[in-house]
Amino acid sequence: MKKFSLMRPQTLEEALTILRDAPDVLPLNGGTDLMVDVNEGKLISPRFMYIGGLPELKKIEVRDGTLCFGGAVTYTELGACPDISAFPCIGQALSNLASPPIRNMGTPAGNMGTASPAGDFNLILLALGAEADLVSAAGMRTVPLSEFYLGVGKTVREKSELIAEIRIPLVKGQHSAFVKLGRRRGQDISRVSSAVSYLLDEGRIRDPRIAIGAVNAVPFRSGTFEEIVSGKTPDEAEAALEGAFPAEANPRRAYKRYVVTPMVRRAIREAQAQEGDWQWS
Amino acid sequence: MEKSRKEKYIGRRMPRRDALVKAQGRAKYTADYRTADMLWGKAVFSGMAHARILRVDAAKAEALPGVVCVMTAKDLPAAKKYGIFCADKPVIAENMILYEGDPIAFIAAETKEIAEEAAALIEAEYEALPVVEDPREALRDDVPPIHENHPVTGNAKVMAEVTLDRGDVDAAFAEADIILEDDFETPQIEHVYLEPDCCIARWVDDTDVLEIVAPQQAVYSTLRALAPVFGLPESRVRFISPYVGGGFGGKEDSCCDLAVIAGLLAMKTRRKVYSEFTAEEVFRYTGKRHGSYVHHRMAATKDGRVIGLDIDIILDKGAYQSMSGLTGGPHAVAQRTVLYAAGPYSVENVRIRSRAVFTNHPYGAAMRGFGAPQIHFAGESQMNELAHRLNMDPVAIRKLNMITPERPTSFGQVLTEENGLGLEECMDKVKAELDKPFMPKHPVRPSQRRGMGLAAYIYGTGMPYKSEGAMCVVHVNRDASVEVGISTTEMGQGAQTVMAQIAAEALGVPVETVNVPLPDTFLSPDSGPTVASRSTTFVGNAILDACRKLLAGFTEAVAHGVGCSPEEVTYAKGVFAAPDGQEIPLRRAIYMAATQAIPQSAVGIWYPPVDIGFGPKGGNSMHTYSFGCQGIDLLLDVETGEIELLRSVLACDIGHALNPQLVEGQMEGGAVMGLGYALTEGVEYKKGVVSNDSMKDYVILGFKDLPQMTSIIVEAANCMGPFGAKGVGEPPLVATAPAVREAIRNASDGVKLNRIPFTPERVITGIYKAKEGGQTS
Ligand SMILES: Cc1cc2nc3c(=O)[nH]c(=O)nc-3n(C[C@H](O)[C@H](O)[C@H](O)COP(=O)(O)OP(=O)(O)OC[C@H]3O[C@@H](n4cnc5c(N)ncnc54)[C@H](O)[C@@H]3O)c2cc1C
Repeated sequence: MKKFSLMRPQTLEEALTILRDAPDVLPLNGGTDLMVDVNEGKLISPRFMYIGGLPELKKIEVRDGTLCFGGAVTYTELGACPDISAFPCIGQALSNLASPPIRNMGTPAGNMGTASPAGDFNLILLALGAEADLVSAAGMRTVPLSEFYLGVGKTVREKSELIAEIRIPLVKGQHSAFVKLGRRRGQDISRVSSAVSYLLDEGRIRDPRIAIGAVNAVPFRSGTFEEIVSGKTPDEAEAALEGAFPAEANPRRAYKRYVVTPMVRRAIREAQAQEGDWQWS
Repeated sequence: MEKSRKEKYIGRRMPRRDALVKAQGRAKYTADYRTADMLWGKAVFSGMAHARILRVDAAKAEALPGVVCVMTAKDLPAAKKYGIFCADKPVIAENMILYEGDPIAFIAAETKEIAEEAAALIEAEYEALPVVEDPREALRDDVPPIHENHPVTGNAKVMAEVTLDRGDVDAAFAEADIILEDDFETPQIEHVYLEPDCCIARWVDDTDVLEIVAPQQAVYSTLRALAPVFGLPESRVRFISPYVGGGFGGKEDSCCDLAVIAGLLAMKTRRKVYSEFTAEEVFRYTGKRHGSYVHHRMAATKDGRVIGLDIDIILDKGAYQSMSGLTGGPHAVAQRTVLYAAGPYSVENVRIRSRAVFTNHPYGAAMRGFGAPQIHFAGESQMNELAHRLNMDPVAIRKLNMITPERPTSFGQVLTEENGLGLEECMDKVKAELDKPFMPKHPVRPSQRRGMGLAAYIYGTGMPYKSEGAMCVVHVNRDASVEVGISTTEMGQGAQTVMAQIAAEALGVPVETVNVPLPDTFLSPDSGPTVASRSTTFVGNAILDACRKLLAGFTEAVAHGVGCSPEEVTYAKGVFAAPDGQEIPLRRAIYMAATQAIPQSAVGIWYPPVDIGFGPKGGNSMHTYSFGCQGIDLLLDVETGEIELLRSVLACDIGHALNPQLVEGQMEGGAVMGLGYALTEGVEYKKGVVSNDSMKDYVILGFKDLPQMTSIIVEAANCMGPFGAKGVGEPPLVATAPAVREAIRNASDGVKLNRIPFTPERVITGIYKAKEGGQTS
């Protein structure tokens, strides 16, 4: 029997109190991961608390040089925000992430919460150097995304905490791209994915971030690849990576070994033509 | 074909008559007929693919308030097994679970929720048995047979074995310049019809009739298969098939799986019962296209003539007979793989064996193409390999080998221009279209390589059985409006539309006045199943026959009325003309007939003149064959194995397009299905239990994946078809997979992939294996 119970707090404070008192309660956001688990019998009679409508978690704004969006902002809402033009990789990810109905419900915070190695938005957040506020009844802490993921479905989030806000720094002149290998375009889980961002300093790559998904238990950044490409032109970087393999990668399926680097190289190439476009003041 | 034809409706693009009601949501499908007073009927499954049932205890489920009845195997009133060709599938499993879809109990409850709760209360114990998934493994001596006591084959492992042995194969191979030998593999795939199976059954108390409404492709097959299960004569079971949301062959069988549940529960409870499979249950329990393992040897001369074929085909039969065919007949999928093993080519020396082998998978069922896609994947791939070996043009080598009036089929059937031989034109047109310059609209990555490929096919119209024919009743009302009584299902292909066109053309009445009701065994005559790309041709011919008979009667009535001989009366555009200049409109003629004991209804019938000699002697299995050619243009990323489709060019020789718009619908839909078969689809199992049982995990192509599609209609008329038509329902997907394989091969400098689907993983693994020197599969 596919049953679950549902609570509907009206404020963030109420929600945090519920989580403090009943740590088994699961925050339900768009439900596009949780309801699948219910349907597939992976969650038996869970207790859900719907947070998708909490006004405190619905804001999108630019503040202190960052794009800030709440933990209940959906992909569709984010996609409609003009400021994402600063991050071309976000548009790319959104157009390939699931399908419009799923994007109408699903949230970046949910992608973080599920912490699937194949989660597409996790890569975006890693590649753009995002951080998130985790709040609980006891207080708030800020965690960089690079420290958020611990394993498949495991994160540093305590059960009493909610992802309240996600912040992405707005960086002038930043190039970025997201690429994904699936069996079909759209509506398919990534087999290997990569998101990258970098600045171009007289045509040379500076401050690169190279994120790789669906290869290890967690989405990760490849420091070794970042080091290789730093200071090179995108063309040189692509050439330098040919035949290389990221030391951090540990794929279980053999074919992923073949395709990881080509996907990273593709992302680097695509990013070259995709500079963020924003009203820099 | 830019011929000026005298027909008013035939050959015209006419929108589907069901289009508007479907677009507006007014069309009713089975589930729309549900009412609040219906019980919820549910089957309970074991979750295992192979097990001995030790105990089933329904006591707790029965005691649950709201449960009206629970049935286990011991409660079955009559026949305990059923099937379209042979009754081998247990209605409720008693001793053995042979695949995941064997139910152990049926439950009728007041609500769905209660039924589900009751299902969880059924207690059962099993002894798990080793699951046999690979039919090649099933044949090994140390693997016990799946069936201990099959009603037809006893404990044999092979359900059906069909062979064709003609000419001197060994001599051909001995004198061949080139021998190509390889293995090819295709998976079981799901039909993925959008409407999951469901069924409404009720016992009609005042007439003692069991009435069943369900989406079906063949109401009379369902009737014949299931009347024994209900213990009723066929005349007291009424099967109705409303609009059907896609079938693709699957709804010949799957409707039976649902109708036994709702039907038996309705008989037992005397209440209306609704039963359905969820989409996941459809994936798990209903039939699949047979998986295949083909060992293919081809002997050829150095100038490109194929002189011998030695082919061994093993089909994944799954647990029950369904459509594999019976040894000795009626033949089915196994036989079609043999029939089409040589493709559209004339090969004199052939030794072909096809065996359908039991496994613990869902039963191998009918699916669009019925064995042809599997064997064409092997055969057309080999033909392309031969062209490469000889450095010949793929079209030229096919023309050299193709069936002509002088060069018969591998099974000895002589086809003449009268049967419609349009292959050459199809190939020329596809090649010409592919040769046109075409640039992708987006930048091409350096790692993306372009590749094109083509493949051809042959596909017969109808079934090679003695009982294969169609019957219909055409009735003309007093106002000259027409009812066409047939049992052909409307599942989106446009049957109602084309049948109305045929009747309107033949009777000279406005097409809007022709009604083609949906199948109902109490009202519609048996025009045969809606399968085998047969309906337009077979049923269309039967309608023409009935219309001719009606007009003959009306002519006689007119002649008698005006006092001349029938030969002197002519008929055109709804008006009879007598020699004295009198004009008698059809309406009056019908009234005249009614006053002269001349019927206003006529039974039409059509059986093709085939003399099925399938064996060393040869024979004509089908009265006509459709031919075609599929061209593919794609980009292959040689670093990741991703395939991006650019163009699909499909030319189908369909005799004559009675409604080009419907034909193009079949062609485009078929090509898309074929592309999914080639690139993404395949049922996956864990211990025989389906693991990709949802639209999320079972990947069919989406619109974003589709290439530019060109559908070229070629018309080599079938002299026996209605207005020259032959079948187009299934053929469009028969040659897709080998064409894709060839395009990949050309894009990758010769990587040979012999196993579909060509997922990025398989493609890139193949590319790397080829780099490392070994060949691939
Ligand atoms: C058909 C389909 C296609 C899909 N395609 C893709 C795809 O292409 N790419 C992809 O990456 N994903 C895909 N997904 C997965 C899913 O849509 C995403 O992971 C989505 O981001 C989940 O967001 P949600 O709001 O629906 O999460 P939910 O299901 O509501 O929650 C997911 C998890 O996160 C936790 N959580 C959610 N919000 C918060 C919060 N604010 N604070 C703390 N914990 C929280 C929940 O408790 C739960 O553990 C697909 C899913 C479906 C059903």
